[in-house]
Amino acid sequence: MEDFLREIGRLRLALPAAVIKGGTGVHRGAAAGHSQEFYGHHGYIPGEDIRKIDWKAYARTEQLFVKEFTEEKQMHVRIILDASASMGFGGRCKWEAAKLISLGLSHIALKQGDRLSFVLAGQKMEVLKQEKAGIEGFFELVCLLKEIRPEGASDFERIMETMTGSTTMTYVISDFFGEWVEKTVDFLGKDTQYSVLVHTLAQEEISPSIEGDLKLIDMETGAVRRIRATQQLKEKYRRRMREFMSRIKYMCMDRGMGYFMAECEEPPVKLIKSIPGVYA
Amino acid sequence: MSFAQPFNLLYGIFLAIIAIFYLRKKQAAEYRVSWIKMWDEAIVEEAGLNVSRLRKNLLLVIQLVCALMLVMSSAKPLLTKGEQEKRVVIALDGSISMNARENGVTRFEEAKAAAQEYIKALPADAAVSLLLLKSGAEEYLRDAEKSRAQKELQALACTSDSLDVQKAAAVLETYPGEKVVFTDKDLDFGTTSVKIGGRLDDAGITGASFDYYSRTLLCRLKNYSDKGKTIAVKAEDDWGGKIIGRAYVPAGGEQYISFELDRIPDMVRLGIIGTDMLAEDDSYVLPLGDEYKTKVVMIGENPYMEAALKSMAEIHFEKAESFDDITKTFDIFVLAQKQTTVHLPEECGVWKLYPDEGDCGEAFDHAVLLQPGNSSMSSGLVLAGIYADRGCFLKQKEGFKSMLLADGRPVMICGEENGRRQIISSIDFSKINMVMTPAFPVLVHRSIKWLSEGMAKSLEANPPQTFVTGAEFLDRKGSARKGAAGMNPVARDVGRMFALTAMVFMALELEVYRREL
Repeated sequence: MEDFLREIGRLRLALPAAVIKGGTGVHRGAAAGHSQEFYGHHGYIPGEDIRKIDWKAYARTEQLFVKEFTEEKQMHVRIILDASASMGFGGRCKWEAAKLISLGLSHIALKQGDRLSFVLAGQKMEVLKQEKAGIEGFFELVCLLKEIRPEGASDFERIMETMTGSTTMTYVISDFFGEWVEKTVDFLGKDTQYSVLVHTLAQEEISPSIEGDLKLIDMETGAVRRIRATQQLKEKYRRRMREFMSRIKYMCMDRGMGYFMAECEEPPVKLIKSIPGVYA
Repeated sequence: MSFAQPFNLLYGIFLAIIAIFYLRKKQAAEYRVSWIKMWDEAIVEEAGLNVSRLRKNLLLVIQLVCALMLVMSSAKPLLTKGEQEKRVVIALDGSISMNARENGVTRFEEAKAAAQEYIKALPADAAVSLLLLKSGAEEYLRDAEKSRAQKELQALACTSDSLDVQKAAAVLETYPGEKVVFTDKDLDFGTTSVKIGGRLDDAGITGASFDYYSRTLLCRLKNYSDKGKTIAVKAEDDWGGKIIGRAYVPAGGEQYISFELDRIPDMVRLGIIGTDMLAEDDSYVLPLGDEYKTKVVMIGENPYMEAALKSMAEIHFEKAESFDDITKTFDIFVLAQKQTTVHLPEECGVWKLYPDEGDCGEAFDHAVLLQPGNSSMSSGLVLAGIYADRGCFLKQKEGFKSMLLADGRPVMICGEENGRRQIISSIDFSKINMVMTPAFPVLVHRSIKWLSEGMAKSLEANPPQTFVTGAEFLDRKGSARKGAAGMNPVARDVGRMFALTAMVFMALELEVYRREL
């Protein structure tokens, strides 16, 4: 864990160009504020603070302009980690990758002074952190997550129940297997300034290598299907899976959200560095 | 082992299906997937059909089939038979219990009426066979027209025989087509049975014997009803003497009543006092007079044999010098001299004390210890220290058993030859120490008794020693009772098949539900 934290220590979370609402922090807000960083001018509106009038500009143009400065604001980062049974696919690879990505993002957010909300979306929505700031809370989170095992069916439609206050950035780390995805994406698009779906899958899920007569058991519902895993059937499955991934990706693009495909076999640090909103 | 409904064994096919299900389950490796819907889409595309919908509807389909089977079963469906099955065998139970009278009508008459109705309902072109089941199975008609069968049926009469169930079942099996047995017994012949009457309320005399030495008469009673009862029996001799005895006989049990007589009458008539459903087994005649005894004659000289035969009170014994001296009819001939048997009557028993030369094998003239042979007559004989010092070993004869052995080889044999019971002995009973022991009169008594078997003289037919009521099978086998009313002679009730199918589908439904197939 120490190596992992050291490797992501220099990473930062930042909004591409979104308006930051919130308390004082280290981020440049899109709205004009009281920080020393010049943002631009606008014409004087009667009743505005005359101290903000740019007299030099008046001297040049003989028109009253008011100087605008960007605000430095604190972000509220929300991380939603899918802890349903399907995240336990393929041994521990998928779950461990999802967990490390969520912890890595949490660490970056807390380290740079942002407020963090951490929601575990398993059989029920469990809020592990609610708008907490301070790096000391990170290790508590690590301990909490250590005990968690993926189980039950996910129900992201109840995610709105956990949303309190405004959220700057939301990262959802999930395999997005379920009928709830579109509704959830719609909600996040409206509620959060910038959301990123981190699509976590195992290579075996994308391109299964199974053979022969098999009894498929759904990890969440327990539903059973009997199949003969022929090359044709597997090819059809792969195509369906590609379509599914593309659908989610375009769903995000349409709503101005970020999408990242995280194959769990990849090193977690490499994955985190590639997630939208994460900068070196 | 046989099956009443062998056709139902076809349900065994379902066992194979269950086994296949089980083996399939064992064969298919389990593979856990994140989202089965993704596979469903691929499977649908691959199979070209919507398995999901099929899966959802499978339980519904099975439940509908179950319900349909139960509905069909409750409607008592009848399967109409084809041309092949228009041959019908009507078998009437004509055994003694069918004489039982209920509401003024005997069961046999009731059975005949039911059979008439049955034949009447048959198609006009039906071929009817008629059987009367008793100690054997007598065929009265074979593949005859209906009208003739009805006429012949009317002429059938019940007997006082005991029903031989095995024989009846074997005979019925030889007939093709539909077989219907009209009987008062709860027996399963593997055919359609029409039950006549209810439980038999009867107690009867099943036998009687007399001890000439103590002048004691033993009367054996059996209670065929399902309740114990006290039975009173009157013994009446030919001089008008009467004695009444009573005994409690438990349900289905037997009991003896003894009567001590002052003198030996020619005949004793036993009768149960009171009435029950069956009168045919309420009386019994036991002839005791000299004229009814087995008549035994000894030709030749053998004082020990003569003494032994004279001591037997149940036989009439005479002695003759030679065959030419015999003027009367005898049942048993004891030949104490070399004598040809060609002049003897056909139906008699013969004891040759001197075997023919053809029967003799190797002779012996030294002392040999005697041992009992494999015949039931020699079982239990105490022959310790008994020996013979001359004679010959008898040759093995087909169908004969050994009564006495010397050095392991027969010296006395018994068997049936040319329809006549014979005993051949090669040891001289006047020159062996056996005659001085109790074994000798016992051997003689057993021999005469065996030779006289089947020769008992009776003035009238006595009831059988026991007879089948069917009740003894009722609780054990629980065979279906069926009344004649509502029977369709050309259709088979297949309601039970539907009910069984429904049960199988229920089991299948459970399995499908469990597997979520």
